Amino acid sequence: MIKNYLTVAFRNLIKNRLYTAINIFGLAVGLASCILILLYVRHETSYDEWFPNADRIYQVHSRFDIPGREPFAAGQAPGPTMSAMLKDFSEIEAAVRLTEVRPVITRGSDVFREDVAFADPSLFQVLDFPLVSGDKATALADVSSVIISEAMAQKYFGLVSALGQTLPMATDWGLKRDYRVTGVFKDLPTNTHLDIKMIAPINPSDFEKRPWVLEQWTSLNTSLYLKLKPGANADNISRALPEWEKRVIPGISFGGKDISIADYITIGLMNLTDVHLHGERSNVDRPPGDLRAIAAFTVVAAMILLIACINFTNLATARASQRAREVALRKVLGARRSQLVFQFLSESLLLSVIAFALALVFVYAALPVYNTVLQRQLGLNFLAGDMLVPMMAVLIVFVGLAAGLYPALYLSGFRPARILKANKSAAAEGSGRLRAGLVVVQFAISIGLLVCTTVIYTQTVYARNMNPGFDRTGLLIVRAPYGDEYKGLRATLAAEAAKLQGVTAVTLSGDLPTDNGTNNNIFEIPGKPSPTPILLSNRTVDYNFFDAYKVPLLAGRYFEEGRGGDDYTGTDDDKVARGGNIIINEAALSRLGLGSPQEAIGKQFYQGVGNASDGARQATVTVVGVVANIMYRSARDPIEPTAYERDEEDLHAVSLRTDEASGPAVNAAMEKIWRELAPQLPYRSDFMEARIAAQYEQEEAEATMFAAFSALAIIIGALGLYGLALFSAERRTKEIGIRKVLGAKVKDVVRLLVLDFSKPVIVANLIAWPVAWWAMRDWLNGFEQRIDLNPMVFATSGFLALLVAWITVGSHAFKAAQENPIRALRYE
Amino acid sequence: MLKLQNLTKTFRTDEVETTALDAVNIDIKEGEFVAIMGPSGCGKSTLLNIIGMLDTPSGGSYQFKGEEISGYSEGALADLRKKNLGFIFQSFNLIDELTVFENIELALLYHDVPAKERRERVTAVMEKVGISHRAGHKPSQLSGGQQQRVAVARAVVSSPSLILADEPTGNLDSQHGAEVMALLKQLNKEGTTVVMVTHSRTDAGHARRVINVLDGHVVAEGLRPEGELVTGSFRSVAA
Repeated sequence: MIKNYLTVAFRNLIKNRLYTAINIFGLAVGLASCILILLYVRHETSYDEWFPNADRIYQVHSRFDIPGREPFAAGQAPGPTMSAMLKDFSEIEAAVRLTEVRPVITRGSDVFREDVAFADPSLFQVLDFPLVSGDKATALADVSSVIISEAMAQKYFGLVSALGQTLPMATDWGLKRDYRVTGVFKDLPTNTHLDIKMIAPINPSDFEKRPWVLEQWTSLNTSLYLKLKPGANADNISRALPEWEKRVIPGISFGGKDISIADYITIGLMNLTDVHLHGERSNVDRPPGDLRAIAAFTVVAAMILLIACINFTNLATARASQRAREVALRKVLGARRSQLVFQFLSESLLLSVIAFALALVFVYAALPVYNTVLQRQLGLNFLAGDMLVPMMAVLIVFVGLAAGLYPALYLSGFRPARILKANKSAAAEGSGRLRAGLVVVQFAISIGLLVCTTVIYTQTVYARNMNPGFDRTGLLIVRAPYGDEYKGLRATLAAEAAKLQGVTAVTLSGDLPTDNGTNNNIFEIPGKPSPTPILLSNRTVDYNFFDAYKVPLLAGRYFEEGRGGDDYTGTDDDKVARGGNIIINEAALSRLGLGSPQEAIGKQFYQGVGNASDGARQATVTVVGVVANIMYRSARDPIEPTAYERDEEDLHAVSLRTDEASGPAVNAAMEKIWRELAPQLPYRSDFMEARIAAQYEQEEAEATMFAAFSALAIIIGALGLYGLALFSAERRTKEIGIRKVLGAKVKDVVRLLVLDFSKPVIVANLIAWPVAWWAMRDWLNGFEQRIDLNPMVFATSGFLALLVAWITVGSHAFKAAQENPIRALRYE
Repeated sequence: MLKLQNLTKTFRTDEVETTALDAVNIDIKEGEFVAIMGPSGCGKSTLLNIIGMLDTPSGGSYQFKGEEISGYSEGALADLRKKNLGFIFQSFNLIDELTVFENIELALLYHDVPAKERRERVTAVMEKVGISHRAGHKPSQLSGGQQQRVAVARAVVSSPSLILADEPTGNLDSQHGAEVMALLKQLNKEGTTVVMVTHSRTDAGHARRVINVLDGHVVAEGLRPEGELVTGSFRSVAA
């Protein structure tokens, strides 16, 4: 019987080649899109699941809620948290801290700056990733041991075995040691939040000069991972943490007041597998997952599949009259309705299987480009045993059933008596109305996607190209090391840079726009002690920074060399004793209780000096200038209220303003100068334009992906409409004939058919617009700097959809209208 | 074999109710060859559809082999139809995508007949209707008469006890029509009950009994002796 079904099915498919091609191609493109999106979603949701005992591993995250400022959260915990928790929570089996250091590594005459994770020797007891060579038990036992990834082994030692080789490292803060390679690990897969290439053991005495890393409760510099004992409940720990924090975390004093840190900090646990999508940032991780993007793409995948299934349903019911006789006959021969339903469902399953095979071809063809855009390593590995095969099987069956169920029920419901007697078409009007409804759905989805794509793309382009508050063109950044010993190097570098041809300005600064870090400081208004501390972001710039960056001055003046108080460099004692001058940005005005830029000039504030846990003191600072806001972070983030000061200690980045054409030449010249001045250090430079573009890389990738899949959705929808229009034109041959006999012209007939197909598109617009408006307003609210929702985008998308419909239908309509009516009338 | 009592069939649209059959009483015995005659729109096709269980009556009783089936579900009717009935249509109604062999075989597929037996039975019946040499052809490659012979073969291959033929010669020229009628007569001789709707007096002449229908009523029934050629009117019975 199945064989008979398949015979009929195959011969039907071959007989109606165009219809079959539209259906299979549409379904295949839909399935391929769906598979690609599923691979991405599956990858994004599978992070860190591969770690042995991942269910028992937790990341400790912290949140500082200091009144009057944005809460600050990170996937990190203060350094002392580990030992304190190990002491008090018996549920913890093992714990490890990771902190990132960027030492200079020398290899022969080459110098590199490398991210090295320093980890407690207990690393493998918690995060147990495989070593290719070396012994986990002893790999981190010695303070001078280092384990490196295969990629790093290849980079430093090539074909020579890395084990036992030496890597001399030097940090900017004076740690110098020859590390010996004691292990090589497999490059971590892309589905882990950890971005680790080299691991050295934490040796507490190495960090004596930087007590905040391991010892202070007020600083977040280490990521902490806990492995619980089997059967232990993480919730028990979470519940006990608030009490525990109050008991364990010591207080500090600020400005003579005792402040309890425990009041401001909240510590929590998050399972390892949730970190990628739900976790806070830390310093050893990869860019976080975008839950909204995953949700959006899942919806898009479902929509594309829906459009493809609607095509199938529509074309199958439209062609129902062609199958009516067979249905009737089978019924006459004693087929039960269930048998017919089964027959038609197996037919649509067959189509689904064929489409799936074609989809796999598409997927394989698209994967290289797809991976490049998304910067992932996605692949179809059917042997991996990771649910791929069952997922695909479910997909095939689902598509087969979803697409075929209605046609199967519809076709199997035909009453044989009428059909067989008259040999006439039995297509009822009911299915025509359903088809119109489904076409509306298809177009509503297409228009919605079109609007969303346009908005997302416009916003991404806007964010990337928006004016960040300074002139970004031709800015070359050269990074010099921190520390007193390099003071001379930095000054010489700046002086030499100024001499180069094509350089119009050179300046030094601490953080740069696009650097993610923020350094907050507490300010106080004299005579108005605030119950909650006022926090401003503190940034260091050289005298001519605003000039070189072309940041508009709103009131007062820029810093000037030789003016008393403008140079804030000095020890904490110096700062407390003499105070200094600051320039604030526009956003800081309201936080400091100031109405206008002019009002700010000459105002004095108390600023925190030194580290909070040392018992912070205050210095008196005077506002000498107010500058316009500039963006240090991406368009998603708010502009931070900022106080700028000039502290020579912190000026380690050299910015060169070049005229655009000479940028690369200046960069090469700088490298040459660097090699002469500091051959022991790697030269690091980049252009501001590239740095800004990199901030939006992920968003751009997502926008590209969204645009591509939206385009596919629209193409599949148009294909379906094409098929439907073809059948409609055929079905109405007689009507068209009669109209022509009665005097209708070709253009009248074309107009009739085109208008007929325009109605669903117009209705679809009415559905799509509010939904897209709502979704996009929500999405745009995620950006501090955003475009407005332009009604033109909606109108254009709607018109575009209409145009697609007209073009698709128009050709058929024209052909049908040109037929000689005599032929058409004799035909029925 | 079957007995219709006070059978009515009404069709309803939104406003109009049309009575297609009105209080029809018919009794057909096993082994009979019955022709139903009447002008277009008289209700004879409706009658045949109800007898063939392709349609259900609005009122009255339909007993098939002693069983009252007027209230049966669609599924139960499909089973009964499968077991007992064979159909032949004016427009042949062969499936274009299937070959002659496959078209005939189709009737057996719904009977769960094993493949080997299917082949034997189809081969035998093709032999019987004289279409063996066309087994691998598609319907579109056959003449009308050949197509109708395939349809007859399909109707009888499952050995039904009742064959319903709706204008079996309506689309055929007289020579091919005669061939098909001869086949039906042959089947009837072998014991199969045949009920045929026809316009053609010649065709009706092959039947042992003729039922005349007009405006939903049975207006006349006539019997004729075996072998006698009928040309004129029939003996009236009380309508």
